[in-house]
Amino acid sequence: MDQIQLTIDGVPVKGRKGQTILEIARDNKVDIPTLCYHPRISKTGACRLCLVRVNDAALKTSCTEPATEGMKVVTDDEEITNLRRGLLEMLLAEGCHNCLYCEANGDCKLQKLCHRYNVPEPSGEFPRHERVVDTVSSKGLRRNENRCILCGRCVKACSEIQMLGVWNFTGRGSNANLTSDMYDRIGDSSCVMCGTCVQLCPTGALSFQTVLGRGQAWELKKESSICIYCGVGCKIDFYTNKEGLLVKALGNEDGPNEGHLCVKGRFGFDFVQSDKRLTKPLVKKNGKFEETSWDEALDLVSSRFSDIRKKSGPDSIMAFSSAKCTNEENYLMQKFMRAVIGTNNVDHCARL
Amino acid sequence: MNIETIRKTIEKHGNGREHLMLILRDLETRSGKNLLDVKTLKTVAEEMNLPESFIAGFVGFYTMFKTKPRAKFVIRVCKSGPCHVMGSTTVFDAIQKQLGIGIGEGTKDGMFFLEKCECLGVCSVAPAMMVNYDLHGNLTPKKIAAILNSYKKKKPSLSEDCGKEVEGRACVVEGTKQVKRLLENVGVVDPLKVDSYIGKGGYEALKKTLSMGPGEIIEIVKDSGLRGRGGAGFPAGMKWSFVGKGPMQKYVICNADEGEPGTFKDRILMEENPHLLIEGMAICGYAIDASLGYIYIRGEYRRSIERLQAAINQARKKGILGQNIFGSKFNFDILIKEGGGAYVCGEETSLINSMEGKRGYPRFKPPFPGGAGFNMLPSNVNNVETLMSVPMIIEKGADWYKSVGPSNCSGTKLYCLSGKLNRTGLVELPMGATLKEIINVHGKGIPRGKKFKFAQVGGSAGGILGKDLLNLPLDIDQPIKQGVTLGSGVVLVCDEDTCAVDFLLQILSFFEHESCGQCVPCRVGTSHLHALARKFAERRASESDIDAMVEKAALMKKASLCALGQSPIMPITTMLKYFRKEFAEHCNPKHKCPQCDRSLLRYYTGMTH
Amino acid sequence: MTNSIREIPVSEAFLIIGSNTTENHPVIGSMIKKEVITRGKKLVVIDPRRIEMAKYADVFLQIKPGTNIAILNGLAHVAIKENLYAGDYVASRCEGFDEFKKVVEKYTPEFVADICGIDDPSLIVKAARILAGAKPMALYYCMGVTQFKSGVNGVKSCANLQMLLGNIGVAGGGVNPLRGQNNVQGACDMGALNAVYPAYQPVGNEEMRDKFKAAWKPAFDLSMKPGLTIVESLNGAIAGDVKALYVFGENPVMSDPNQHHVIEALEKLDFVVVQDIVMSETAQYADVVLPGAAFLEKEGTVSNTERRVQLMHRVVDFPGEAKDDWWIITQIANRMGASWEYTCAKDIFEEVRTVTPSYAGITYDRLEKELIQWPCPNEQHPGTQFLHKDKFSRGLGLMTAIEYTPPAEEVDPEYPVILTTGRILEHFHTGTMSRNSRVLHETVSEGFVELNQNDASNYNVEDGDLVAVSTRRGSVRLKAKVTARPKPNVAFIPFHFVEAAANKLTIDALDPTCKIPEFKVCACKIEKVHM
Repeated sequence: MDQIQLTIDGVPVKGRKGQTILEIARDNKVDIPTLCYHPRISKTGACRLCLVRVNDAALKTSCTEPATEGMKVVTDDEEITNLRRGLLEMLLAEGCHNCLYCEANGDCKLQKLCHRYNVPEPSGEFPRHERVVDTVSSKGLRRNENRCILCGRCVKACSEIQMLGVWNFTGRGSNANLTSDMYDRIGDSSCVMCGTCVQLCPTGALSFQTVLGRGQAWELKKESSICIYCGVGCKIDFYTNKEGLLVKALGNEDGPNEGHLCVKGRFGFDFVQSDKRLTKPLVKKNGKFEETSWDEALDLVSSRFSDIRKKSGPDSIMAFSSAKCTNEENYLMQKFMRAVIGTNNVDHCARL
Repeated sequence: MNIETIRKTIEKHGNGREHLMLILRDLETRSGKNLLDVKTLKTVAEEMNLPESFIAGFVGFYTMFKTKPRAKFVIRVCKSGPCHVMGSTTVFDAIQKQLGIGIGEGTKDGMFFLEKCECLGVCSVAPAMMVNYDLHGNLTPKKIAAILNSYKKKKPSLSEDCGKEVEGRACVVEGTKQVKRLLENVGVVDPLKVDSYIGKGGYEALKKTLSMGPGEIIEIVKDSGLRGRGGAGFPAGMKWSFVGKGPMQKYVICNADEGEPGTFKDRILMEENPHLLIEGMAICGYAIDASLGYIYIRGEYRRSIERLQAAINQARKKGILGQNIFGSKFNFDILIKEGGGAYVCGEETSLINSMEGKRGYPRFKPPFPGGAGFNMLPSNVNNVETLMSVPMIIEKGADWYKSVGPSNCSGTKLYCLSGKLNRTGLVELPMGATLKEIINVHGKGIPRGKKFKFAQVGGSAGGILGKDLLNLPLDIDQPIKQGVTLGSGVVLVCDEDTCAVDFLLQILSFFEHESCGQCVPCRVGTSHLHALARKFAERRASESDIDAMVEKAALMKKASLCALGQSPIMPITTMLKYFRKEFAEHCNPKHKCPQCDRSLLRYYTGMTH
Repeated sequence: MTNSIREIPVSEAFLIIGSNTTENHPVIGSMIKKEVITRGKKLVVIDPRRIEMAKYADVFLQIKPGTNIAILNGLAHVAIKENLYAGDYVASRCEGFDEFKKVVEKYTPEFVADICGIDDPSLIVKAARILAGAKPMALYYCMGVTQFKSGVNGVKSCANLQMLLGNIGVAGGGVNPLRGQNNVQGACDMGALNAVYPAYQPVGNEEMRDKFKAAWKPAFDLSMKPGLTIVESLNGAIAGDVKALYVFGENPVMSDPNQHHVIEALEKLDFVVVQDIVMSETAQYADVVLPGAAFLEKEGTVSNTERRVQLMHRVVDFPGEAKDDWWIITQIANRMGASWEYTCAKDIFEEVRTVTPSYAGITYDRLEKELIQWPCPNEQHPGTQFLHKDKFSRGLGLMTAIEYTPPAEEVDPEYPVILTTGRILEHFHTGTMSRNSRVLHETVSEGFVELNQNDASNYNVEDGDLVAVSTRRGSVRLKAKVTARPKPNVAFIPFHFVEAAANKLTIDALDPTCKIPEFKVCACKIEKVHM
């Protein structure tokens, strides 16, 4: 058996050989803070927040340390708390984190952890590097690297999930920063706007153009659906604001897409709320469409279909069903044609 | 640059990511302006089928590369410990006077561009500078003028054209009582002739090795008590025994990225006796079942690179490298990888990433390189000095090797003497020599009758030793008990004129410059430590900043991913142990400190870097 | 797909043919890229354009549009000749091998290279060896195989190769069509096709007729005569046989191969109802337009390309008086004498389960927590990850001997360039959705024609120049995008843009079996427009 047993904070837990301490802790609902870790990408071990004490001695980053049989893990003690606070203090001092103006306000991992560890406001005495702010070059993505904590999740999102490698770190040490392609603006780069980097960004360093001014993170409601575009069937969590307006789309990790999306799934949803939408039944009178009531429209359709059926036979009526509609609707349409009209004249654009 | 040149260069080195360093170095040299322009880099990305950002990230990591135009010749002046103590500010003064350029500036005629840099590995002839890839030491204003003039007629190249004073054999201390094992043949064999090495009994140990079993070899190395000479002191035989077993490819990797400021031992060994390294690596390869070895040499060591390459070529011709060595079933070959100016690449996992053509980020451990190293395959990484100690152990036996040095750190150690001594250079002594012996006997005392103030032992990552530790045996274990470390064997002696604040500032600016930036404590911590030290130098600190430095460094020690971030605590606490008062004095805005003033003027203008 | 998306990591090699995967199925594209780039899996790409995937391919075969069957036969030829095929598998699980072998015998690499316009025939050999040497190997294809008058044969050729190499019925293998629309699989499963009931039960079968009559209780006998396909019905309209058309969520004016023809048909019809979310190009020709619901306003299920049935939830409210589409259809049905009593999508799905054996075990409750791929015959069944395990659905896998046939229209001196069409990353189909999404529209706001550099210089065209692309059927003007992507003498136009509608140009030649139009190849000419 490759099962192992260890204790986390005094509680015996089980895991599998080869799992890290963090993975076993998460499986057992033990909360260890992380910033650079994300289950969809390879381990980084860079933020150091997930340090835990192993066997009463060494501090190890739980995201990289393999768990072993009989291991004793302590996820928090005074020293660990102080280290985490110190690290968070460093991160705050390194960037320019003003939640008031931040797209990620309320949805920011750094913000949450700074609250949790009661991190004092940075003193401002240390020099910091102004980094790139580019909120205009891309139609989909905004970049404010002064909020970047260099966790590398965007870099790995692009090179390990989207497999494009638009992002990478350049520079070194305190001068390290992001580059897209060869120091290009993101809008001028080879970015295909899949948005996975934004979805994985733990702060507001990367954000969607569609989010700003459309409600605070905590006001948004989330509901899952399936992407309307190609046949992959990506599962998407759609977020709406108090006014019921669509704000953003995040890939759902339980779908066939495993959290990933393309530019269409990510940004191609606002046609739903476009002002071009039809809101009333229309009937053409004298070559012009006029609004009408449902009753009138439905009566007209049913009576015309009935007349034509009677006059020219059921096979004189044709229906185009739709590969964009649900199984239920398609089922009903073919049932309508077969069982109500009495013809097999139903088809859809499977071939197009 | 035209696409044909780029294609040819890629083809020459191999179209693979692991060859990126050489390809880019070659292209930069060919540019004639020490420039890798964005267009060229984009073409390289296209031709190598790599994301542009990988190339951008790579170039941005290694300080030797620049994407902005520089000049025909780049002058890099070292400001690390030994050079700093020996007056690198005067070098900048002289260059400013002659060429009218400061750091980050170029002459109008496009001839020269000035940069500061960290240790060049010629510390016994400090202060030093590098012009393109040529090293020059013992610099004086007059000498600088002559050197710069000589470049007006030269073409940029990658070959050795260094000052005589930096030649390996010139950097060995002669005439004192030493136990010369590694240095035995330095200055004796002709490094360019394999027969000269063979004539001195070279490759006999390898022959002997091939008549034994790999396990036996590891046992002998274990028995010899040989410990790693790169700084960490891990038992070499044990490390070898940890290398993964099985049918997969395994590698011997020689860490020749000698970057610890004040260290120049490996350079001398490689320049003067390259075959000894080849032999040591081959023996290691046999022991761990590796058929391929890599030597990762810092890019600044052109002469070492050229001589090693020549030695490898000769060894291949002689059948010493290649298939069925000496008629055995053992196959082994060695390839050279170059560094690009990154101290952190001396850390073995950073080194491996760099070998793979990536940014030199250290990897978290486990997995250790013995299990998953280069290309995620089992790899054994040893320092040059360690590997070069192996042939003599095989040849003469573990007992012979253990006959000098303390029982737990046997053998000899190369100590790199620099700073305020009458005689600087490399000495080989039984492990555990004292500072007193090193200074008085081998260094012939401190010049001009000045008083000893402190010695920095182990380099920037090492500690400060005051008068109380003059009799401390400098082996691997004793210094640790005193809160210091022998490290790679740096002994940098400072006299009473050295300002403790100025010296620490130099160390801490070094760490900020060299931090890779991957993990938070080191990336931010080194920057904050540098800023704090600067406050003292600028005399605007308060005494609480002393504790702030210690606290930050303590956090870094506990939380950093690799040894670099864990290091600053040692120089800080050991320096404060002796000179806390000087730091307190620097809190007074009216305190006079010409040394700090000069450094601030010359190196630390504007933002860091 | 015979197999599943999550099997991509299991595949040792991939053959991508007629699919610009990274643009049209980007999420799957990235997954395949990951295997190839980071895990060294083998990749062979066959496409007329040097698409992104070609960059990562071990072998890229840049073929002339319309020559898929030749290249697939060529690969099979090499596998048979070099005895690299799965002999045991073919012998025990397939039939028709001998005839197949006989036909592919003449498809030597040289012969195929000549048909496909490949300079180096040895590439075909290399590709065949790679594909035969890695097990399991997965074949992915898309409209670049199907949208030809020989589309059905193209698909059969794909199946032939995978049977020959023993890759059907194994995890990580398979013949995997990438479905172009989010529920094209489901629409077919549900019987929105002229000749089959739900779950592909033929309308011409008495047993089926009786089964559905019992389930639906219509006032008359169900017709056993296969109905019309879309294209046939348009012909029927022009001929006067078809009088009324109910268009539900489709936009044939933009999506059908011959725009003039569609418009003519629509104008001829007595009565046209369009049920859609916007006033589409087709709706302009309607007598009644009914405002339906957009996907985020709906509850219901959709079935993706790997037969995975997934639930959609209502995210936003209907605009104005727009209604659920099932409600609208129900209302019309009931006004015509039916007495349907559905109150929600779930009610309908429960009925679907009773008549659709492959969906019988699927429930809304299960879908909330489980990953289910049909067939799923009962509620205890976990669903089916890949098809044809141990045994083909029809028993023995049928290898069909197929000869290459040239496309309907070949180039000639007047129309010397091959025109092919397709999608681009940022847009979808006729653009009714993507062009009404701000970010997508702003990112790519107009159509273009992709030209090879050599061709462009022949026509004296530079990147960004306005050109006229004309065929025997029509002409459009658009900007030239000069790239290294298309094969020389091939032009590519994305079909999303109404102002430069590709279907003014394309030919309406159809596959004789499934009536798919030959969108992917016709002859055109390119002329620079002088302003």
